[in-house]
Amino acid sequence: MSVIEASEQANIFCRYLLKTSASETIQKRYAQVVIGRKVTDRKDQRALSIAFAHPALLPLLDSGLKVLRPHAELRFRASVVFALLETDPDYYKYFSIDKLPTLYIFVAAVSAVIGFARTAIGILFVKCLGIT
Amino acid sequence: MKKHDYIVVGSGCSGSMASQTLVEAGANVLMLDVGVLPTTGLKPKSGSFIQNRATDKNQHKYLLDTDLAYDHDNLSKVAQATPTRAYVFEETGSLIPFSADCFSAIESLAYGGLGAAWGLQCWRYSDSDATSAGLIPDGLSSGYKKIAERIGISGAEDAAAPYTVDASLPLQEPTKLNQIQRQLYRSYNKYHDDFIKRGLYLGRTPLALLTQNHGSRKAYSYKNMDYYTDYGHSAWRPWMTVDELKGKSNFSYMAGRLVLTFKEERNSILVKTRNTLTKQTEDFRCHKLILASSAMGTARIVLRSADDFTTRLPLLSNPYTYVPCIVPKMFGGGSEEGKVEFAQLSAFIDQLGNKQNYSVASFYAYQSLMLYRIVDQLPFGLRDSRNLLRYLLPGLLIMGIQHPDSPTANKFVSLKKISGTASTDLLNIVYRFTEAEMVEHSRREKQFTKFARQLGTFPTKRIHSPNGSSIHYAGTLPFSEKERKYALRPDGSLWGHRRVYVADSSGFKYLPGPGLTFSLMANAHKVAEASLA
Repeated sequence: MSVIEASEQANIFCRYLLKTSASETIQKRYAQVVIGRKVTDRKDQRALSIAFAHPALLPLLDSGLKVLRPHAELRFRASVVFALLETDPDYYKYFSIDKLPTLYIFVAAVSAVIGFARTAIGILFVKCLGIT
Repeated sequence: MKKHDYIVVGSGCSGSMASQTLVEAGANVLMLDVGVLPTTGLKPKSGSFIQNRATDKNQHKYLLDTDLAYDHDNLSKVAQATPTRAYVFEETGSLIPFSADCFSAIESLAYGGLGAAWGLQCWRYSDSDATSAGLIPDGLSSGYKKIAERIGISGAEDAAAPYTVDASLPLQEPTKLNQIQRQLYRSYNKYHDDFIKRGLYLGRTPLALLTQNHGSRKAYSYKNMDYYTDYGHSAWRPWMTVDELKGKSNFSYMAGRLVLTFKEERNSILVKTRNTLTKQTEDFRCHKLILASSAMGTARIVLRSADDFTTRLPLLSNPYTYVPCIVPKMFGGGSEEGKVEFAQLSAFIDQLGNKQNYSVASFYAYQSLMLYRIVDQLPFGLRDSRNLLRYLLPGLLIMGIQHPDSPTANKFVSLKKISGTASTDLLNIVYRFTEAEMVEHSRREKQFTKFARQLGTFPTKRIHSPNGSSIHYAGTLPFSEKERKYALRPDGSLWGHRRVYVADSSGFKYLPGPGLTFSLMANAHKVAEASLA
């Protein structure tokens, strides 16, 4: 994998996680972790190629794999970007634990319902793709 | 070759305390230690956790790792093993290897040993627990007092005081409670009498954490960086004592020495070591030897010295169950400046009310260990989990239940010869529970989850840590009144030897639920005193 490919991947994961692009620092750090990692499993290769060709499907792939194949390479890479973003002050606002109004409980409940729905659809999707 | 009065093996909690007792008595002491040091360049800024997170461009170095070594599978195995503390567990694989099919032995060759990542809980053993462990309660009591004077302990005399602190202990004010623990404490105190009638106690955990200056060490600054650094040295670590001892003329410290064997001769003891840099063998002589390299480390040295590769020695380890509990009232509460990550509250179940064979659990708030470590706990993808965790985290409390442990035929260690590695042998560990033990663990877990519910929390699931991950080990050379091979006399000396003492937890023949560290330090002091007699 080239540095450019790694940077693109970091950007895709960052957009999925935070709906924003990855800084050069994040791209560089991500490349440092993944360049040289060999992906030999065909299911992992397929999941990665689908995710990078169609980034809009990442939420479903991630949610489905979380249940069916939690140690999939795609989840590993997404987790790496998650950890890198969390430990960069430029992205602090996305991870800070802010005081929220009491009524936020309804927002959280709706988020949980959406999360469950996404996981349920993700499971079916991942099964259909045969990458479990 | 210079002959020292004493050689102390290991710089951890027991080695440092035994050495201090000997040095204060005027003995000439040499401490032999591998002494792995922290990696340089990982030091966090002096700000609080929240300040550092918001501003420090280099935070990934101590929150993640300098080389971004991202071990996804091992993130939750040892919470204490943050990058700045990882050195505590380094080099053990090559120098003191083990083999086990169902036991995660966590050992240390660091300067300060496992104590460099200790959770600071200073629970004392009840008289009955001390007796079952083979310790003498009266002696232990004076040992507790001595250790508390040395290291400084903060705590409170509340409902749980009979289970946590001895009335004679000098205590500093307890730390300020975190919001979530304050909520729990309030719930308990509201129905205090009712709880006590049912044998349920909740109180402040005594911690080796200063709230007032103590010598050169400073009072706790509430920066919530406890998993990453030791600001102001307010949390006691064994290396702080060893650092102080280095200033005494009758104490010397030698790092880079792995003790292999000892041989008691007519007038001295010959201690064989391997220099970890040159790989050469080096010999040292002393009048008396104090082994303090943890229950498993000491077992290795004793078995190797006897060239015994067949005998099985018993092994004890506190099984540990943690239960994430949620406190809905606290959801959305935001980050709290000035939080304390150490266990601030301890729960005790003593249904007989005799303050003897009780069970213990402790409560931790979760904040500074980062979302990436727990994001997999929710059944969602990473994006949905992040959104929810930012709301849920202020209401998350971890309850850690520590089970006692007794010896059985299914828990033992033995030494096995190997070749082709830096070490010539490894410790073979077998550790399995009986059916009855598992039933007892489950019963205790149910009692505590019920107690947690009554305190207004919602326990989620019970997570059983891998065997051995409590990092509490004991019992390899159990105390015995009668002469027995591979056993200790009640004063800590090794049967069959006149001048070899063991100051760590090897002698404990039962491991009570409350963490052993404070008791092993008190015992180390008593063993050192006995050796002086």
